Amino acid sequence: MGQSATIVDPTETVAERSQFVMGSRFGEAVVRVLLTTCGVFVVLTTVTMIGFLAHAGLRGMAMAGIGDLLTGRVWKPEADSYGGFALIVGTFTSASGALLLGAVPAVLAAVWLTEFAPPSIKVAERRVLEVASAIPSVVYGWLALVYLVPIVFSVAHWLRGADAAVTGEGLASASILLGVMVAPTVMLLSLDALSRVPRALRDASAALGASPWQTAFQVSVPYAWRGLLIAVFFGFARAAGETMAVQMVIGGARRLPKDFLFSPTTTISAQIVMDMQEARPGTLQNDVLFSMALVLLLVSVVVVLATRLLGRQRLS
Amino acid sequence: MNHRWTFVARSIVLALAFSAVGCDKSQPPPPEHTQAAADAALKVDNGQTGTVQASGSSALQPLVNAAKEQYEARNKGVSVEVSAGGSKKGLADVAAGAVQIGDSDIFAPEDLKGQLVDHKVAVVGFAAMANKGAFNEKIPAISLLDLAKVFSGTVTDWKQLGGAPQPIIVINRAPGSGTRAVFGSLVLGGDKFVESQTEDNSGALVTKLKQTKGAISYLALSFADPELRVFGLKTDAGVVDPGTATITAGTYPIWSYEHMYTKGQPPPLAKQFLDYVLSPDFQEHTLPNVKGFIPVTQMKVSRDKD
Repeated sequence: MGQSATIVDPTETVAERSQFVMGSRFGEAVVRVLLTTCGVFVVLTTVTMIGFLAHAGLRGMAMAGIGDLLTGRVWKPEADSYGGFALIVGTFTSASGALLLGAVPAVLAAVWLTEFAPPSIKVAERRVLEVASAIPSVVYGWLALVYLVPIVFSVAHWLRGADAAVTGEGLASASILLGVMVAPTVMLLSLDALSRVPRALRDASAALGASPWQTAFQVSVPYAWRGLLIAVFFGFARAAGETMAVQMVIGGARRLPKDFLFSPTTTISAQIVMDMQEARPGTLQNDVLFSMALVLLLVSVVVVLATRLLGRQRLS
Repeated sequence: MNHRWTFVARSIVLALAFSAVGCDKSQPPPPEHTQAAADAALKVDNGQTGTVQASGSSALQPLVNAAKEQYEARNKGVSVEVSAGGSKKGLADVAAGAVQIGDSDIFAPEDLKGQLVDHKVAVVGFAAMANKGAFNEKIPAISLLDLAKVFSGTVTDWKQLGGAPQPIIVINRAPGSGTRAVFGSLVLGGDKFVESQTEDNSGALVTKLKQTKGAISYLALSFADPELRVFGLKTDAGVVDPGTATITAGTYPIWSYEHMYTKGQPPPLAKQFLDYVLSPDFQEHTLPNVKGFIPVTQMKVSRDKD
């Protein structure tokens, strides 16, 4: 670690070295211009994108009626019926399920890893988590469709009876899948939060005779709680926005689920993917899909704002 | 620092590898050709170059791909680009001038009929297909009326159709699907499907039907499978099984034309490709070998709407 920065070629003359430094000064200016351009470009893209989204989305809301869009029960774009209630419920329920099944256990796992696990496992588990958080969602979705859905189907029949009209697709599968997907990211963020707990606090706690258990839950977790909460929020936002994988296991029925856990329903993002194929630009359907996208964006914005608010309190 | 950067680089490579796997869209299975048909085919190379673009129905795609292969082999310099995104997309694309040929399982809607020219290239049959089980083994056929009741959600148990007690789980195709439009129009008299689980792809639907106990859906006959129960129609005259003979004779009613629409008269190259698809050579030698397709010329009945 850190070797490459200090390697100096002993055969290099002082003149050569200073020339290199002067060259780098010119290079620095070029790089600075390049970086500024990139920075401005990113901001411009984001602002333009939100502008377009808001423009089309608000037009859709005005035409379809915001009340209908949020509380209407029938979503049938082919018949110009845009009631997004089931979609919104699906998004919030599946994301909450992911929170319960993925994000919260991930935080607890991070506590275990920081406070109780042997050091050798710490590094190995971190590497595994980094890989897991880099796996594309379509891979998660495909695996879930092939392996998880049939299992959930059996469980559903075991719970509800062999003759029940239940399926493997639905909120149960979606929540489990989303939980698995967000857990690595949430756990990595939690580990970072817990690693910022000063060692002195832990040592002091131990010196006072506290058990590792007491140190963990009465010193470390209270100290890091904002960071942990932020991690959970990020998990929720990612679960709410996830599209491809959810679309593969949610079933795609544009209605509230008949059986809360084990019958097909849909989410905002999954439905946008389903319907955008036929939405021609300039049509009401197109605008309404942007309205639903806007709703999703608002959810993320609220989460990000909440996160920032928590972060600021932490500094003061 | 070294280790960290190596790890980041490794992670990126890994992620790219995964996304490459994710993006690998599998091509539809190539049609079965006979060497004899290929040999018998006329050579029509006249030195033209250019591109013919077609988009739309995924049900029609295997046939268009078969035509593309043979046509390109005979017309060096001409390439045919075929993309599938659903019948309704094909109709919208050709009307907007984005492609020269719009592939569709359904007749163009009234508002597009004026500007689009229809070329009927084949006939495809559709049938209700279900998960196989003891609950429906005593049901060889279902009447049109009962099918309508099943797919609109009024009949909800196999028991009501003469089978053993087991809830019926209806799986639909997505609203943009030509199969859904054709089946809805011919069986339900419109899109009156019960809102239920949706698959946006015929292949995935077959897998889902095999997995889900009590499930039923509708598919083109090219997707018929020994592991699925394919229902004939119960009529006053007895059971009519779906197949080439019953469809061409007009006794099995759930079929549709496969259309290749052009906007007005097609440009020369697109016209040449369409002429090839409609030529006796292709219709009689290649088309019957592509599973599930029937030449238009064999039909003893016709219709002018779905």
